[in-house]
Amino acid sequence: MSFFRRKAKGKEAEKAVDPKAGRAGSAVLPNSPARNHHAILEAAGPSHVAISAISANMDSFARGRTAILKKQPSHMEAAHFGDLGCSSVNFQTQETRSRLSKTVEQVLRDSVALPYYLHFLVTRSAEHLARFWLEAESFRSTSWSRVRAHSLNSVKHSSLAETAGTLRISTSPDSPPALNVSPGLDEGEYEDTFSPSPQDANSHCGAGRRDSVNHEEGLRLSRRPSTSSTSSRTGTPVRGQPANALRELSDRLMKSIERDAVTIFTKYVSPDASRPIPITEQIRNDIVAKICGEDGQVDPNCFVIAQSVVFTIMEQQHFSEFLRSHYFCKYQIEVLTSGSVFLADILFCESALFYFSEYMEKEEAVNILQFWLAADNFQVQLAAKKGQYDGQEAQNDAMILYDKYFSLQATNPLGFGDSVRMEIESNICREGGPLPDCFTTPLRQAWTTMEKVYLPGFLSSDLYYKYLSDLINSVRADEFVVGNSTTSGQGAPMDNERSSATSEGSQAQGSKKVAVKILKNFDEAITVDIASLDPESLYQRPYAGRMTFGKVNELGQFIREAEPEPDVKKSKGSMFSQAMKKWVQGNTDEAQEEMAWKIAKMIVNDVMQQGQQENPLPTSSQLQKL
Amino acid sequence: MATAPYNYSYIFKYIIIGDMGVGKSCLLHQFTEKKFMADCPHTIGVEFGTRIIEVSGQKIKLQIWDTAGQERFRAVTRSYYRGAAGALMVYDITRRSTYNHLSSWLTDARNLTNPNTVIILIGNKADLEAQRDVTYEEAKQFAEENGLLFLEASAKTGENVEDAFLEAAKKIYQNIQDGSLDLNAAESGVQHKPSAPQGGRLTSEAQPQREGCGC
Repeated sequence: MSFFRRKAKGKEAEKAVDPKAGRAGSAVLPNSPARNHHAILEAAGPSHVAISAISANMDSFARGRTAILKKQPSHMEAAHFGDLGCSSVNFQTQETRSRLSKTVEQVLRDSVALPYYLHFLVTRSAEHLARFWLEAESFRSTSWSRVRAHSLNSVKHSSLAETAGTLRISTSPDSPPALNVSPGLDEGEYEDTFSPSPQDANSHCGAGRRDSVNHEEGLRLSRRPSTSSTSSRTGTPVRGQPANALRELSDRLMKSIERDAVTIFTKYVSPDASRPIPITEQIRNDIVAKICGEDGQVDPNCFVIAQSVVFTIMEQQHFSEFLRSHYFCKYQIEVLTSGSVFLADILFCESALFYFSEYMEKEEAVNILQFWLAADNFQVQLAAKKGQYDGQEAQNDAMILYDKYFSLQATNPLGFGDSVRMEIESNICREGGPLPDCFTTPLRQAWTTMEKVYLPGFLSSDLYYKYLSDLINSVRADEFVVGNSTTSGQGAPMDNERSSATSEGSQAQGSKKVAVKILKNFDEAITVDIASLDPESLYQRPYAGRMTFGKVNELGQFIREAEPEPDVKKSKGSMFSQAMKKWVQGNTDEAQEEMAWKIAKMIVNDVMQQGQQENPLPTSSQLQKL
Repeated sequence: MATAPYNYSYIFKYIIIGDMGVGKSCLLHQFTEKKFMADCPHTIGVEFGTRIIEVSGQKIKLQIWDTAGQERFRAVTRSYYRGAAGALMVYDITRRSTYNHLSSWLTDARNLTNPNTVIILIGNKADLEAQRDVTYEEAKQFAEENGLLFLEASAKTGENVEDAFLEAAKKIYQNIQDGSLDLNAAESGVQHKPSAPQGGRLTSEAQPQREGCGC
């Protein structure tokens, strides 16, 4: 009972401190203030936080319920913080929740993660696989754009010529990319376009085979461009200046498609390529046939089969190793030190969750995390079935969660209000079984509580910087990276530019920038790590003693100190200033001695782990500044 | 005593996997709370518990993630395998089907955890000798063929429960000491947390270990 009283006092003090911190309050809801208050206290959150949770919940309702819960966190984050960090949130969410194949796809489309993946593939002599996939994907999308542009130009040209042709050509943009059975092809017109084909094949594809591909869209498109080519060769103006301009543009578009296809083929597909991709002869012949088709047109989907083969190789042979490599650690370091880390980044990443769950246990709030994990898993597996599930079985699962967290006799009550409990009851007892979103309201509240109350503390806690240090040490363990980092650090000026090495031309430069970023992250993390020891020590000592007075006062101070931490992280100078202030104000001689001991221990370990003399320089610099 | 919860040198992450109804949650509860839950509802998704043990004079905190055994939760629980230092693969000695499915669970564990993960096979419900359906020798052979530790235990009586968790922890700690678990290499994927005792200097001679990680 006395323990309970102490807890209550702590919460009251917490509430008193918040107005001083100057946090903006949310709109007060008129409904059930007493119940909200009750839920607030038991949820271990200040009143404004719970109001924020309810407001967030109302926002969720306004946006409408969706069965795909796992996307809601990203939307919420995006709504709160605009575009900043949105891509990394999406990556984290999708990367850990999606299947492995989707994971590879997400990396290939993430401009932040892609350079690390390419760098990793370089070390495994498999970079050409990813580059081929990226270039083929780019070719496919741009080719379809050009085909549509060409079709539009053809329509314009036809309207200048004759009305009858318009009807036939105008259907081209609407036709699907898949092969279709050609309805009533005019044999006469086909023969008319046959004669230019051999010339096209010879001029564009040299030794390419002339296997015919019966592609409806290709055949349709082939008539007009062939006529256009013939006209260009003869040099005879046909319909006047506008017609000529349109024809020239269309011809240029189609020729550029061919040129791009031949370039990719020569670089990656041809047996004579310097780095051919590992595909079968049959697939290669199929690609040749689609590039050098009898109709003279290049199929925008000509590389799709090869892409899927290469994708499978990247997924099965390389991606799991990438996830365990220091390149992925570097990517994580970049995300975690970007200054915009979100709860989704933590909850959907197992290694970060490992530290966060430890932190939640220290804060005696592990039940919130436990509930979120269990309910989220329940909703995800139910949503994955897309309505085809056993209603009774789902209801039994939901009742287990209800009995544990919501029931009046719950074994782990979280303090949700009566309105939430009644909503859950009606959701569970729905005829046909609960829907995948039956716990959305409490999940949203638990999420917001963790995000507003616990995430800021975690991001400035000792555990978080320990996590960062572990990541950094994983990276520094690699001699190649360390050597590269040292070289770049000495020779190249630092810049904040993000490299997106999607072309070979910037490969070397991208590598340099990656190394520079490593060094930069190294400095930042070391600085933050040292600075963070101070508030953590302040926070932990009284807490360990369990002295109510001290705990309350120090806890309040710690919360205030945690608030400006994100600003401090972005500026080294002010960070040192803050650290020195905390240092002077917060420590006795004994604490200073302890702190110095810890720092010395850290520095000694760093020095011992580095086999080179260049590496201690940043650490020495830090020491001198301190 | 107030500093006890925070006075440990390492944190090992464990996962418990196996068919539904073999006693995974009861094993966890017996280990963390030292008592048996007779009416244990099945696990929804994933839950975790913690406890501090001592191995070779080192205090080690075990963070144990208990996963749902139902097939419908398998896809979502797989995401928690990565980064586990130890894996407890549990079957029920009174139900042969749970033993027959071990190959599938082992495949998942091998594919989704790191190469250095210590996997221990646990035959639970050892107190129900009269209903035994899988012999000790048979399971022992399976464990040896696959390079696993092996113990039979009873979550009800508590027999060998603590030993099961301790054996895995000793193996992990031994790998750390031997250097076969290179914690500074990113490939290890094992997470450890060296921590200084509060209010005192570091007296432990054990080298602080670093973490490689995967996400």
